[in-house]
Order: sequence, then structure tokens, then C-alpha cells
Amino acid sequence: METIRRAHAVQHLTAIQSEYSMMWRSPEEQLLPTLEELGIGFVPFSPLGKGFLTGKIDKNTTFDSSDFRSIVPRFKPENIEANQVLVDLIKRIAAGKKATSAQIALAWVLSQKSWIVPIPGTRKLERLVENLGAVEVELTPEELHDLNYALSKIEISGERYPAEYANRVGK
Amino acid sequence: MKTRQLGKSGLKVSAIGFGCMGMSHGYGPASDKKEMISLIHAAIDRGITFFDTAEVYGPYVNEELVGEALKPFKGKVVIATKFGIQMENGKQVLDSKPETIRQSVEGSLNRLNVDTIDLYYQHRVDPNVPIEEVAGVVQDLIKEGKVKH
Repeated sequence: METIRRAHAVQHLTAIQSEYSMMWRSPEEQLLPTLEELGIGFVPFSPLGKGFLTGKIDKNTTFDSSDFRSIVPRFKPENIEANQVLVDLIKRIAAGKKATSAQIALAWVLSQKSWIVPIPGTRKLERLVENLGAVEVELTPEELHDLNYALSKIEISGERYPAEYANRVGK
Repeated sequence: MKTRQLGKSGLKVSAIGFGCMGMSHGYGPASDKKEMISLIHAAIDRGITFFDTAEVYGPYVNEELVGEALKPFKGKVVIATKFGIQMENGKQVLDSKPETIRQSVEGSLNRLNVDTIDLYYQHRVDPNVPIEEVAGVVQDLIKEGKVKH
């Protein structure tokens, strides 16, 4: 946070990019309050948890060696299985809102602050269209409150980066 | 498509942007370039105006892809890219030395086919270069018109 303040003092920052999703909420502790105070936008990467929150990945999913997820602890079968509880929660909410899991995950990110712009990636047109549909999904304050309560009861298993990467990444 | 403003900067973008890294880096072998260009055009048709890439994605090939796809839309879309990670002998190395940033910006401008980078991020903090110095270089690039934000 100190780094952001020091940089901002020299040259006003427009935006900070960092990971943020229903399965990586660490930015809520210090980053988001700092950005709000300084008037800096936030661009979350991996808002779909590198695909996990879409519900399309399970413990039998295998990743090619050229796929980064093959070395990410969070995508080890035992962690995928342990984190399935989050996928199930999102699926239940999606069914109730007549939306898809990906749309709920993105709508949740969008609903946190008006100056947040997530950047999901995809190689498929159907997923692109699905992701954009999230803009039309409104989560009411009650729904958000219930959702956040449920999220607070879920402990995510597995680190988001292998150790050799993690020590280079600031929070 | 709804739009949002990034902080107090005045930079307005579609409420959801498009992270382009995965088309050529990190998520398996790169996809066919023509198909990915069509996908980026489909995103523009549907109102996306914010595209994210980085020098190190590929390296370079992702910026080239984004640059080629967005060439006809100059000034109508916002492209974000990043400096600060260099490839040395196949390994990623953190490098935000002022001269390296200056080299990176020229390369990115070239590959993206633009005169100005709309949004330029430091990809990772370089522990060997004080952040004030990095911010100062970006400030100079803004004064020179090579970077907007």
C-alpha cells in the first residue's frame, strides 16, 4: 500500500490491477480502502478464479503443461474438491437469479464498487457473450449481504501461486 | 454496454474489459491468430472498449495480436499494457530500470500500432528501483505524449 501511495504522490495513478474474485478477497483488507481514498480505479484479473468459479472445472480436470494452472496449488485435485463448496454456492445463487455461475461471479465483483472494471478472458465467443451478460445481473443489497455471509464461512484451499511466484507478488 | 470510470482519472471504459493474455499465454498453446482477432472484433461489436495485454505475454506475441486486431479502432478503444518483466534465458526477470522502461514503451507502441499507450502499468514492483523513480519515468512518458495514464 505504501508503494501505491509513494507512486501516486509523484504521478497520479489511474488504476491498479490485481487479482480479485469470490475466491481471492484479500484486496478488501487494505487495497480497496486505499484506492477509494486516493481515487484510483481497480482492474481485477482472474475475476472468475482462472475458470474455477464458472463451475466448469472439477477434480478430474487435467491441465496441459503449457497451462499455468498445471502448477498452481489451487488447481490440485484435492484443493479443487475442497473448494467445490464455493462452486456449489454460486450455482445455487445462479439458478435463483436465472443467470450462469460466471455471471454471478462477475456481478459480485462489479457490485463491490462503481470504479471496479474486471477483465475476464476467454477464447470462445459464447463465453464472451455470457461474461458480458453479467452487467445486467443486479445483486440486491440483501442478496449481497447473504452471499458475503456465506462466503465468509468458506475457507479456500490451496495457494493462488506456486511459492517461486508468490514471493514476487505484492498484495 | 454500461461504462465505468477508473477512479478520478476521467478514463472511461466498458464496465467489463477483455483480458487478452489467455489467447496466447499461460492457458495452453496459443490459439489461431485469425480466430482470436475475430473474437476481439466480436467483443467490440458488443460494446467492450477496454483491452488488457502486457509486453511479457508471449513475450510480445499477445501485444502483436491485440495491436493487429485493434488497428482499425484507433482512438475508439482503450488499450492497457504493462512493463517491468523481461525474459532472460527463458526466465522472467523483474526489471523497471528507467532505460528498460524506455525501451519497453517503444516496443509496445510499435507492436500495438499506436502513437500513445492509453494505460501503462508496472507489471510487478522491481525491488531494485525506487517506486518514485519508476513513477517519474512514467510521468516523463506522459509529458512526451507516449502514455496517457
